Amino acid sequence: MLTTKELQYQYPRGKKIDFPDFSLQQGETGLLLGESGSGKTTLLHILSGLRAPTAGVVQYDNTNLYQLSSGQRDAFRGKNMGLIFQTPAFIQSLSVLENLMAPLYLNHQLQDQHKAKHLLEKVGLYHKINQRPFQLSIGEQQRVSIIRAVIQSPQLIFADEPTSALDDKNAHQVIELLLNISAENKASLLVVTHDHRWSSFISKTIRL
Amino acid sequence: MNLILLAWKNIRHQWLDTLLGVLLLAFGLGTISMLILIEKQSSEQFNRNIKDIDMVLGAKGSPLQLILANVYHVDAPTGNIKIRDAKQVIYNPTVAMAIPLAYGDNFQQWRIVGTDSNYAQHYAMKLREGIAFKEEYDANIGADVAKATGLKLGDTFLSTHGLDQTENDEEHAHHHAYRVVGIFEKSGSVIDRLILTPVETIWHAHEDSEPASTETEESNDSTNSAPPMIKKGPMMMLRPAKAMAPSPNDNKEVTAYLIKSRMAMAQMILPNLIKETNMQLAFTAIEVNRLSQNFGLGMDTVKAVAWVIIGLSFFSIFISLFNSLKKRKYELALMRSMGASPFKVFALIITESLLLVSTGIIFSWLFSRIGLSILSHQLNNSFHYTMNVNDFSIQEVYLTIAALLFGVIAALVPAINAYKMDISKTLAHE
Repeated sequence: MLTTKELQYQYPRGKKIDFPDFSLQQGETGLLLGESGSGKTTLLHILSGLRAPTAGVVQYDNTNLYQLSSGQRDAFRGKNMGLIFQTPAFIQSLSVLENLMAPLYLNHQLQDQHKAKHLLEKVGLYHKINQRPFQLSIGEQQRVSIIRAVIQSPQLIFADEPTSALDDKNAHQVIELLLNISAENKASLLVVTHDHRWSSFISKTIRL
Repeated sequence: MNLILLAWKNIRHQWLDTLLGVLLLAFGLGTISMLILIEKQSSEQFNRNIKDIDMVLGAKGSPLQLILANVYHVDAPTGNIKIRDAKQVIYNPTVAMAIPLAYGDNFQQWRIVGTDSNYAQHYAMKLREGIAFKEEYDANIGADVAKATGLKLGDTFLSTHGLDQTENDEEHAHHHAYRVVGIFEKSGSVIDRLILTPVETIWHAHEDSEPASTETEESNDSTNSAPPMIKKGPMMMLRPAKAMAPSPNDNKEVTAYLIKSRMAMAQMILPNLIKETNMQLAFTAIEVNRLSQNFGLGMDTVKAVAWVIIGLSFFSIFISLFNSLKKRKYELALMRSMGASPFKVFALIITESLLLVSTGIIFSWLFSRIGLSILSHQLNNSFHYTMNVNDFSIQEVYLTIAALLFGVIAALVPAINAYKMDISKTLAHE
């Protein structure tokens, strides 16, 4: 499903990184491991179409991501990828439910609230549905951001250090949720982390 | 969810940051809007009331005051003139029409004006009820007078001496009652605010309180008729001898004559005829132009201040959008990461600005109407003039479109920055 080939990135005033080739099949999970500054986040951004590589190919089935126009790439990302960041971020003016509806609106899809409500119920946050994101704890925020990433049933979920800011209890909840939710959606999951707590859950690793 | 709702929620979330800009805009636009309506309505009033009156003949004093007092009835008259003196002007062949006005009394502060039937005819007044006045103490009342005083056909009332004394002023009250014989339809002219009666009524009402004239007048037809009035007719280059002959009313006084000239030459000829008298001719075009210039100067100053405020308001909106962009940079990058196109975030910023400006516009309309309402109340108290609060000018539409355009311009720099944002760098906090 996802295949990379000879990816390379040259920072404007810095080093050049050559990334290893790898692939990720549908429903497969993988860990992207590496030291700080090894380019993990840069690679994740390249894979998600947020930052163009200096050279190389990112292939999704029959689609070469960087042969698409900028607008097409935005639409492709919106429809096929779910992104989770280290620090959960939200549109602060919107409620939890509205934040979950935002990806559907931004990608011109039917804003069906049922799935969002069901998932919130599943993670025990249904009662926070009308609250603002800043009213939630960091663990709750991360769970909501995971739901937002899968609300459109994407084929790929990219998570950038999703547990590094969480304590053990919250981290385990988030790991479990991400694995279950990606399995339920038959989505591939690529987690960028240096958090050792993931290693016992995912066997496939890509090292930078 | 849609773009407008999202933009509105963003504005509401940071309403304190944008409040100043919106308030400044509302104040600036509201002031301009109010001035537009004041200019429009006062211009309409001026034109409606001046209606082909070229000159006003009255006692010496301020020519502008003469016009304001006799055409618009918003100022005190400059004094009275004798009919005998006025004859040389009103019977001049260059004069097409001269309407006498005599006043000095009021009923509940509504002016009672002694005149003839031509005054109402000149303004194309139509009677809603009753008939035109014929006898002394018959009164035809304007629509505003009828509404404010509650006078109905057949009602009688007592006048009070002076132009602003109240009805309870016993000391200055006249004791002969007027009878309402006709009520005019609303016309939008000055007559809406007047009580018209034959000019003889005014003379008789004041006969008791004023010393009788010591001068005796010879008369070749001895009827106590109305003051001379020249009607439209074929041009006469010679004074009609009969009209210029002495009459019993020659020593009577009127406040002024509204004059319509037959030819432009009248403006050169007539002033020379009254050089040595206590009379003056005020030219409406000149005086109204002077008034407009003075009035316009004040209006222009207020307008200039309002434009500066509007400029500041757009600068304030620009600053608040710019700061908001800095604060929400990560949020916008997040939207992009969720699939929003660059154009969508551009449109979001522009929509936020347009919503802010629209809010300012709505408040400006409210502000201008409240301002106009207060002004109207004050004008009504002082001069029985009112402003139409529900009025609307096409210039307000242009102003609204211009404000929205400026709203787009103020948002362009923040919106372009959002459009060109490097999402990856922003999300990576680089």
